Amino acid sequence: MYQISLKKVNKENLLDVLEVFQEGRSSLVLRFTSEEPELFGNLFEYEENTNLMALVMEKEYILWINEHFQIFDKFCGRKENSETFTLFKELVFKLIENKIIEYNANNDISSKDLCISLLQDKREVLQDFIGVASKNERNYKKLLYSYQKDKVLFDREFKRLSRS
Amino acid sequence: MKDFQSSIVDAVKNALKGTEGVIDGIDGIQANLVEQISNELNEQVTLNNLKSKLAVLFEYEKNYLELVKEYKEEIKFASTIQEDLRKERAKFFSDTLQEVSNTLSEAQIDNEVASRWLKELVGSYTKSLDLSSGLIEEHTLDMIGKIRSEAKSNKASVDVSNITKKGE
Repeated sequence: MYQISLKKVNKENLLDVLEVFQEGRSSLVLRFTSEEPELFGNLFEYEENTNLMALVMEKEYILWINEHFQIFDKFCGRKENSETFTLFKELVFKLIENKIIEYNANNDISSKDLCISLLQDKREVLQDFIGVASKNERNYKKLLYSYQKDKVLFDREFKRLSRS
Repeated sequence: MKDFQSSIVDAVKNALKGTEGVIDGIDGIQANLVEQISNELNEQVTLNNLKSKLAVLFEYEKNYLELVKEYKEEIKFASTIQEDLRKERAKFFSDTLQEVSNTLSEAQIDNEVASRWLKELVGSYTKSLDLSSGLIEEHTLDMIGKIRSEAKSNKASVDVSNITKKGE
């Protein structure tokens, strides 16, 4: 199991990462309490299609993981603190790992392969990160545009499943 | 192994060896004398031992208090962030979940769909909470480790011989 190394974590870094995750949880709830149109539209549209509804759930989860990077960029991006980024990265890594384990153990999830492949891509990009020093490099941009990319890939999957 | 009291009695008897028969009735007097000296010596030594032990205990407590004082802010910080997370978890299950359920219901989302989404929300939310909680826990353990290690390094300077030296 992936272990978090806290050898050099100070209070400020810890608080920053906790704040990013708290903001992530708030945004998750807000999508429901604000009746986010795209999400609620899907809840009606696919209410009788279990597979597509499951795909909406996976899409929500993966986009939620992506959102953590945007929140991190908003809260801590300017600080250029490599320790905070490393800690944040390790925690997101765990969020991804947990989901991959869940997918692998469950054969009922529709489009399981797509979801695993998206998460594995994210995991690989994360693994290549050493710290915020590499922020300007290609990998960081890859993470930031993954939000749009994942959305498009999910839309394609919706179309494919709707046709079949 | 001989107990401490018997050792003292033997030592006093040895010191008085050769005095038998010098004075009439010395054997009876000697026995009383041995007992009296032994008791007094024993009391004195016991008292000194107790004093040394108390001094060691006092030094230990003093060191621990100093450590707690030194880490006061750290302990307060760890306790506050743990408490905040506990409150957030409690609020999620007592209020937030109900709020989301009401929104789904008012929007007329199918009951079965709403129930699946609520379950999904609980799973994702608690996963994130658990990760945050694990992070705080590791930070706290790290701090406890530091305190323990400092306490251990102080322990070497707190022993009976050092206390006795200080008292001299």
